[in-house]
Amino acid sequence: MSEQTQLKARSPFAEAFEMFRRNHAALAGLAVLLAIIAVAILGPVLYPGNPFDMVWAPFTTPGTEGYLLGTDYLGRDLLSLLIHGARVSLTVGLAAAFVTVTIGITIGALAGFYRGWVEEVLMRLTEFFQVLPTLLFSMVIVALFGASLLMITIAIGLVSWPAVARITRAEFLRIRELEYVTAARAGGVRNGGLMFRVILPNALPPIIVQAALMVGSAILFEAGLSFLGLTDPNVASWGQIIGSNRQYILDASYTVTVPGIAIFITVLAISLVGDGLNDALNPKLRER
Amino acid sequence: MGILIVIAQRTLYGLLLLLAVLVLNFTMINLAPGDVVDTIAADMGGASAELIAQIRAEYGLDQPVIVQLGNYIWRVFQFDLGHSYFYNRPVTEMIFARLPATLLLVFSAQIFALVVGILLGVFAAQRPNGLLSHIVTFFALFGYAAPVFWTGILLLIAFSLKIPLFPVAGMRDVTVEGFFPQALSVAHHLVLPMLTLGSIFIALYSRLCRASMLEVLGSDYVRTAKAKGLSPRDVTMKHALKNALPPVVTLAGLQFSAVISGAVLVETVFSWPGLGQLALTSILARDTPTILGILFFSALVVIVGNLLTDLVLRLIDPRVRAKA
Amino acid sequence: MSAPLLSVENLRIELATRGGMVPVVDDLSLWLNPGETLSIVGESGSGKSMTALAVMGLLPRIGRVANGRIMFEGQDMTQMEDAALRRIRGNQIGMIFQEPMTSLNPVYTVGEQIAEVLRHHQNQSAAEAWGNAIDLLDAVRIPNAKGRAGTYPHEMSGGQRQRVMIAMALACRPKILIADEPTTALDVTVQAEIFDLMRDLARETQTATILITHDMGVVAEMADRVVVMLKGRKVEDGTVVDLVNRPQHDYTKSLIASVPHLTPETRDTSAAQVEIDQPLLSVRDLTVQFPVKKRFGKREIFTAVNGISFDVERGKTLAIVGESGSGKTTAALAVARLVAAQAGQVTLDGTDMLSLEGEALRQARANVQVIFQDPYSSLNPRLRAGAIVREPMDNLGNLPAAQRDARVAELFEQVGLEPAQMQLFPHQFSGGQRQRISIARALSTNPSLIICDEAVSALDVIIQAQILDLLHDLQRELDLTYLFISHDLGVVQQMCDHVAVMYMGDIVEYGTRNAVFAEPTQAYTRNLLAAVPSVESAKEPVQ
Repeated sequence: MSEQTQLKARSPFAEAFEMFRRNHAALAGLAVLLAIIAVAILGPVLYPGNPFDMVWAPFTTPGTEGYLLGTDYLGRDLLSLLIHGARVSLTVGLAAAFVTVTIGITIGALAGFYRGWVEEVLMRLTEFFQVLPTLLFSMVIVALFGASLLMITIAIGLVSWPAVARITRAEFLRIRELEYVTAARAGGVRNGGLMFRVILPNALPPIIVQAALMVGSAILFEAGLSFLGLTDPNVASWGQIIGSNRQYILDASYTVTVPGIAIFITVLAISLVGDGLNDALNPKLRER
Repeated sequence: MGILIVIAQRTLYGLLLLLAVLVLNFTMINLAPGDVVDTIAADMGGASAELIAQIRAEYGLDQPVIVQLGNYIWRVFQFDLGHSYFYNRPVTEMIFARLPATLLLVFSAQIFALVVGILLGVFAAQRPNGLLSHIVTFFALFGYAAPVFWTGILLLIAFSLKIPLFPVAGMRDVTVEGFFPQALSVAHHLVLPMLTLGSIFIALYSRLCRASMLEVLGSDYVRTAKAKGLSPRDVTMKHALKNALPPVVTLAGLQFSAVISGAVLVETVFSWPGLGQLALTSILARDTPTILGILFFSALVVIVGNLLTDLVLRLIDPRVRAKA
Repeated sequence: MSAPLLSVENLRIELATRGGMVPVVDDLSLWLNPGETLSIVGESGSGKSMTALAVMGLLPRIGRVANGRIMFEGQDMTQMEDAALRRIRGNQIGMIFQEPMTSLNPVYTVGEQIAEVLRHHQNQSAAEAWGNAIDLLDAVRIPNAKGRAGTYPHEMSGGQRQRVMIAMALACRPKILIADEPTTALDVTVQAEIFDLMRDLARETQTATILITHDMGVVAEMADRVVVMLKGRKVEDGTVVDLVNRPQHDYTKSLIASVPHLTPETRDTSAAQVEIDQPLLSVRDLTVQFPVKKRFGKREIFTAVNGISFDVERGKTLAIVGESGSGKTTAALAVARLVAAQAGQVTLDGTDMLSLEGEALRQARANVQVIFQDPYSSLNPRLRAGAIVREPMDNLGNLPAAQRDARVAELFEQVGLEPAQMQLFPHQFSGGQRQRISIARALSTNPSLIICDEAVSALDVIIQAQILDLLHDLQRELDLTYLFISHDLGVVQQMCDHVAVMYMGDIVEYGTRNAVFAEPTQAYTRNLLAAVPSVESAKEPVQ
């Protein structure tokens, strides 16, 4: 009995990409996300001006005098604030997610691979950071060390990494028992190679999904901090717009609802992309 | 017997964690430039160097950090969390005045989110591609993607201002007398904050429950249950659900930290008299004892929440009971 | 002859796939008489399990009966409503499945799960049902039935769980029992016990049985009649005696021929002891232990391999055979230094393997390679097949980089694959092809010793025969030495020159193949050999 042979190679990533392409919701999310990124990069160029300039009377309703979104309680152009705010949100979101994932993968990989006392120590460390109340702790860091974008990014990264570490460790624990890892060891691959060239690439799918969701949660986190006033006063931030206009919702609710919509759409788009990644990456590649 | 030992072990471990929390935060606060004396001096409109040194000595802030830390930990063991520099009252008194409100909000939101999330998840798993399932997914996603303070404000605008169904702020109507009317008043005030805080987690729990149910419904023992000729309801509720719950409960346990974070924001929006407001003002004022006290109690709430979750898990999953 | 109990007529089952509706069973007709055992035999993908699920009305959501009838008690089950089917399931027709480890609900006690069937179908009260459940546990030979009724599935062994499944399926005294590969996941001695039990119970209760299996030996020992399926179609049917002695269809013939069955050997008194002058591999007092964490951090030591000794002759095969938990795989991996050994001596080709450390150890790996059991998890899904085979050469060995790809192509051809397939990914190959890739990988550094760790156990019987042939040819061509680990005595008899039987960490019997198979000295070995289901049992004596 001869067995069928195919001759066109299909890598696991190509297959995942195919599945992602077929997911309409995920594609829509991706499109929205790209649009927002475009706004963040090109917006200040195409719609120049300091967002903190007072341009007109406070609480001008959207549409009047050519101000598409009206003005806030200080008479500042809401559209300009929104466009500049996009930069802040996306930058902090991506940077914080990067910090989170880097710390999380390192700790999770070391714990899951070496086991023994290394795992014990690292797991206690992870549990400790999990017990810390995240927002409160970041508030403390930002209040103590200054509310610059850098500090905010670090603060968010420092409290968010346990989730990534847990997932990474779980994946490492699962994969290290698989036969192809033993086979690689029998084939002379050293520990470092085993961790980063054999196990990690196969552990990536759920980590990638988590990383995508981390961007969204970092954006929400930053919005929360800026809502409370713990943000860089020199940069426009969506959360801060909501926070500073909060007392005026009776008179001009749009100053609160519109920035919120911006945050919501951004995080929603990221979540849809994350879901799409989850569907595309997970079932196929857990073979059989 | 075994369960008491587990509780004892976990409690001991929890205490160690709390200790670590205190040490870390204390060290961090003292590493940062500036302290409460600067705030007080600023409030006073400036002060001479001698006055500042005097105040420092009064608060014991002139001693080395290690000594301060040691003193503080010793006092904590005696249930004395210190004295707030800023409010000039014992920290324990301030925290206990506000802790119940936060606890009420946190636990009611968690339970609400769990119940609704599980129901939605079970429902969605029955018809994974139905229209209702997709609507449910969308609304759940809304709760997750919308910043919690914004959701709160929207609910306020809709159901307190435009349609005055619920109160705008506070925890209860102080003019009401008697236990039951007061409880009712609290419940009335609790609705919007609870809905707001719970909305974030409904998405998480319903999605995990749905995924967990789908996986369980495809398992071998569910196939066996069907082969035994059991009714679809028995198969879903008796055989499938009990196995699908553990991951959801575990997730809920891990979310306590996030729930408290959300509570801080929700309390700000609804002027709910919990720890949130206190946290913000004391952080801005560098009121170290109060900050430490709040962090301590928040960590405590998380640890207790984890313990409760573990106990619930033991109750529903016999395999957890078997492990040490 | 009375009317058949169950009659399947021209059954066609289709599954919905991305490419449309695909038939998995086509034009299948069979029937079951009261009290008899019918076996449906075939390899994976033959449609035998789908047929059973269709009878029970348990096809997956993506499947449907496209054509045909399933007649039971005068009614067509394919046209019945679900409520009516549910009255039959578990009541008139019971079913047991392949994986006892996952077929019982982990959160309910075994007694509760049996009682549930009785309460549901026969309206018994809770107390009555519980009492009957205990009786049933007794009937399936679970010791201390009353005490065990309150245990959870995870506290029982695989064999015990399967007994519980049988008790559940027979609780309402069904007319038909469908058993889908009930013992495939169990040790061979446990399998023998389960089959004895099933035979006795069926006789007592006059239950007709449909036994689905891939093992012709099981068919020969258990069934009265048999249906052979290939790719969804029936290729042959008849009584067992007829089929085994006078198979008509080519596929049936190759199925019978491929099953490695035990052939009786006559004792050859000349070579009984294993005496090897200069063994390639020499193992003395090898001991492997693992710490087991108990409550309160109290540690216990579990001894997986208990000071065993054996030799392997150059160019020959030593088989280590045993059931699960015997320590055979652990011992082999310890020889390859993939598992840590606590004591003993391992000398391979003059090198003391256990004393090597660091870089020296790494380099020594080139001389001993392993072929693993599971074709689905022994290849890195993210590497191309060529890269997988080249990996040991990249890390060990001394072939310059430029020549490695040529060597990989050469290896591909040697194992029966095409060099053009080097660029494909593992998921694009079949199970048998993946094992060939594993073999090529093992050969890449020219090792003197190759450990085959249940290397063919996960393969279909005909593919298994092909891979065994390949291993045999390669041994002759390249003068390879094999340490062959297996639980399958038939395969072992075919492959080995010497054999060691392991039980609970010890070698209980060690000798030449002829000595051990013809006249085993140990009771355990004798039990093991007797438990293997053999096609011989149905063979007519040669005239």
